[in-house]
Amino acid sequence: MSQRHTLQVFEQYQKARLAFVQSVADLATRPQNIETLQNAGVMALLRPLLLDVVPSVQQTAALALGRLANYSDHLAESVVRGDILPQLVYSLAEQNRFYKKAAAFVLRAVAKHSPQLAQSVIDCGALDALVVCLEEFDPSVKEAATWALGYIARHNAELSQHVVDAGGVPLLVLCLQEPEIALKRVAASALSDIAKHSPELAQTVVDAGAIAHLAQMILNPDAQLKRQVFSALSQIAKHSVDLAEMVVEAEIFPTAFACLNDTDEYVKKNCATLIREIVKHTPELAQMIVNAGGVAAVVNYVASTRGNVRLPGIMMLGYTAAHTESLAMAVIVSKGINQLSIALNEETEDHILAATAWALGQIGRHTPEHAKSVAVANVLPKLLQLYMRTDMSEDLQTKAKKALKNILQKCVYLPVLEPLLHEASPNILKHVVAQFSKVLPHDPKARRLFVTSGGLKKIQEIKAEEGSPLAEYINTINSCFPEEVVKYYSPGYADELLERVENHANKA
Amino acid sequence: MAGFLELRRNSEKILEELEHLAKEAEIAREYEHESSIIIQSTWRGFRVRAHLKFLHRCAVIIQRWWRSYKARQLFRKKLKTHVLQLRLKYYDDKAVKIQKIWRGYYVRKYVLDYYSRKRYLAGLEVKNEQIRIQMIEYREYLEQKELEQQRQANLSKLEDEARRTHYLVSTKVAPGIYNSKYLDAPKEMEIILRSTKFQTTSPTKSMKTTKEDEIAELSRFLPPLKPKPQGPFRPSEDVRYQRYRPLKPSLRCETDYFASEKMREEIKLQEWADRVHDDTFRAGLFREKPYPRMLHGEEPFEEPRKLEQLSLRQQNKQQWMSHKGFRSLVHGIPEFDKLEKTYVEPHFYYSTS
Repeated sequence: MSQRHTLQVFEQYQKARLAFVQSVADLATRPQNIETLQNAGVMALLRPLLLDVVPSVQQTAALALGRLANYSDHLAESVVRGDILPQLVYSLAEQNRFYKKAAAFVLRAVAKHSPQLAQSVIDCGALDALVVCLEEFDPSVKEAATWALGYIARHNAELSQHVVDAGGVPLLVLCLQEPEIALKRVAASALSDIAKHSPELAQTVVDAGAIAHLAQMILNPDAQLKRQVFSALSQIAKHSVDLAEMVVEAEIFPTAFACLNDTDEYVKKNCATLIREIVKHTPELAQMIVNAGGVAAVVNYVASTRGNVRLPGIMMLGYTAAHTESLAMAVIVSKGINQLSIALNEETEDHILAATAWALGQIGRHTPEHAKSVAVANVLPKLLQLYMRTDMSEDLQTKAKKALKNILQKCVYLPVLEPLLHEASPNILKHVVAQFSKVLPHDPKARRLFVTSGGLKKIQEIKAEEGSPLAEYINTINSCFPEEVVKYYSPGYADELLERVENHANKA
Repeated sequence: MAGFLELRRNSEKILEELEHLAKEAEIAREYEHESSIIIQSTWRGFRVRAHLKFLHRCAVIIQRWWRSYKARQLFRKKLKTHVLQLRLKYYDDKAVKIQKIWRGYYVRKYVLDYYSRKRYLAGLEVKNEQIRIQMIEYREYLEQKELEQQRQANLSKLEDEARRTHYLVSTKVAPGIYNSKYLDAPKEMEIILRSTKFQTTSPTKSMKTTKEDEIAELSRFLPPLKPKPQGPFRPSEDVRYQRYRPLKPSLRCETDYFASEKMREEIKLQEWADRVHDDTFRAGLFREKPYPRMLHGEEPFEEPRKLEQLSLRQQNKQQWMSHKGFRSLVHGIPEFDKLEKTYVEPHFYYSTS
C-alpha cells in the first residue's frame, strides 16, 4: 500500500513535468506568446529539464527551446548565454534518435541567426556531434543534422570551412543517395551552402563526388529537391572554369533545359542561374550551351516568366553575347532580342531593366549587323528614355548609357538613328552624329534622305563648341552637301535673306 | 809740282766735283739697285708662280683620278643597294600577293567561313526549334500529370464522400435523393454511391489536435508506466516474422557439391569444342610419353646380403599408399547453417523492407 503511494508521487511529478514542457513547446509555436514566455523565465526552467531523467521530457524541452531560439536572434543569444549548448552537444552523442533530432533542431535554430551565433555553436563542439549524427541510421536524425550543418555553413566561408574540416561533406554526399526525398533536399541545400563561398570549398564538394549524384536528380518529380539541386550545381559552377566544366561533364545538358519549363518558379530560376553561371566563364562553355539549344530554351524561359525570375535568363543572354560575335549572332538568331525588348518594356524594377539594357548592349556591340538587328527591335528610344529618366537608380542610367553607346558606335542603319537625332541629349547625340558623319560621305541616297527627312536641318540647329568632336562631325556632314543647301537649312537664313533684300533696295 | 799746285788750287773744286760725282754715283747706284730688285722680284715671282701652277696642275690630276675612283666605288655601292631594294620590293610584293591569297583562304576556311557560318546558324535555328518543341512537350506532360493528379484527388474525395454518405443510396422501395423519380436518369453521385462499398463509420476520433498527436507519438517511446503482461511472450510481430521468414540457405548449401568438378568438365568440353584440330602443335622433337619405369625398377638396388634375397628386390609398398584420408561425401546440415541467425531484430527487418 505505502509503496504504491510513494510511486504514485513520482508518477505524478513525472506527468507534471511532461505536461509543462509539452505546453511550453505548444505555446512557443505562436509568436505572440514568446515574449510572455521569456518574461516568465522559461529559459532558466527549461535548462534543468534538458537533463531530466525521462527522455520524453528532455526531448520536449529541447523542442521547446528550439522553437524559442528559432523565433529571434535575441532568444537564440540567450540560449547561448544560458550555457545550454554544451549540454545539448554532450547529450547529442548519448541519447536516442528523438532526442538527437530535437537537439539538432535547437542547434539549427541558434545557428541560423548570425555568424556569431553559428560560431558559438561550433565552439561548443557541435560540429563533430552533428557529423556523427549524419552516420545515424534514422533518416530524420540525419535530416535534422544536415539541416543544422547547412545553417552553420550558410553564413560565411570560415564557418563552411569548419564544417568541411569536421568531415561533413562526404557524409552529406552519402545523404544525397538516401531514398528519402526530404533528406536529399536538405543535403543538397547544405552542399549548396558550403559550395557557395569559395572555389576551394566548392572543390571539396566536387571531390566528394557530389556532382554525379546531384546530376542524377535533375529530373526528379519533387520540385523542392530540384530547386536545391540546381542551386547546388550553380553554386559549384560559379567559381571557376574548371568547376563549371566538371558540372558540364556530368551531362546535365540538354536534359536540364526541360526544367526551364517547369511548373515551379524557383526550379526554373535556379536552372536558369545554373546555365548563366556556366555560360559566363568561357566562350567554349557558352558555345557548348548554344549548340545544345540552350539559348532557345532560355529565350522561351524569358518569354514565359516575369520579374525577378526572369533576371538570370536575361543575364545568361548577355553573358553569352558578350563572349564573341558569333555567339551574339546565335542569340540574335534565337530571337533573343525580341524577348529582351519585351522585357525592357514590361519590367519596372531598376535592376532588371539595368540587366536587360546591359544584355542588349552586349549583343549590339560587335558588328554593324548586330547593332542593326538590335536597333530594328526598337530598343534605342526605350534605352534613351531609361537614360534620361531621373527617378531611376544611377546604375541603371550608366548601364543604359553604356549600352546605347556600344550599340550606336556600331550602328550604321540610319533610319533608326534619325529619331534619336531629335530626342537625344548632347552626350548621346555626339555618337549619333558621329555615325552620320561616317556614313553620309559614302552614300548618296542616304544624303538625299537625310535632307528630305529634316536631319540636316536638325544638324544645323545643334550648337556645338568650336573644336569639340561634335563640331568636327557636324563639319564633316556639312561638307558632304552643297554650301547653299547647308545655308538654306541654317537657323537664321530667312532673316539673312530679308536683310539682303533691304541692302539691295538701299543700293538702288 | 805745278800740277800739285794746281791741284791744290783746284782742290776745292775737285772736291766739289768729287762730291758731286759721288752723289751722282750714289743716286745711280740706288736707282740700279732698285731696278735690279724689281727685275729679280719679277723673275722670281714668275718662277714661283710657274712652279705653283705646275704643282696645282699635278694636284688636280691626282685629285681628279682619286675622286673619280672614289665616286666609282660609291656608285657601285649605291647601285648595289638600289638593286637590292628593288629586288626586295619585288619579292615583298610577291609575298604580299601570296599572303593575301593564303590569308583569305585561311580565314574563309577556318576562321570565318561565311557559308559554313550561315549553315551553322540555320542548323542552330533547327536545333532551337527542336528544343522549343521538346520543352513544350515536356510542359504539356507536366500539366497533364498535374491534371491527372488533381482528377485522382477529386475522385478519391468523391469516393470518400460517397462512403460517408452511403445511406443516401436508393433502395428498391425508396429512391434516394440522387435518384428522384422526377429525374430522367439517376445523378452521377447515385452511381458512385452504388459502386462504393458501405463502410461502418470508424470509431469517432476524439477531438485531438495535431499537437496532441505529436505528443502521443513521443509518449510511445516513454518508459512504460504499466507493467508488461506476465509470461515470457515474444511480441506477436516477432513470432509472425519468425514463422514466415523466407528460407535463407547459406551459400554452401545453395551450390552443388560437385560444382567444381562439373565446371571442370564443362571447361574441358568447351576447350575441346574451341580447338581447331585435336593434335596439339609442338615444336621440335617431342617424346610422346615419358619413359615408363617398371615398378620393379623403382627401388634402388641393394646388394643382396642373404641368399634368399638374391632374386627379389625389396618392395617398398608404403610408396603406393596415400596418407590423406578419403574425401567425405556428406552434405552440410542446413539446420546448422541457420543456427547463427535464428533471431534477427525485428525492427531491422521491418525498417529495411
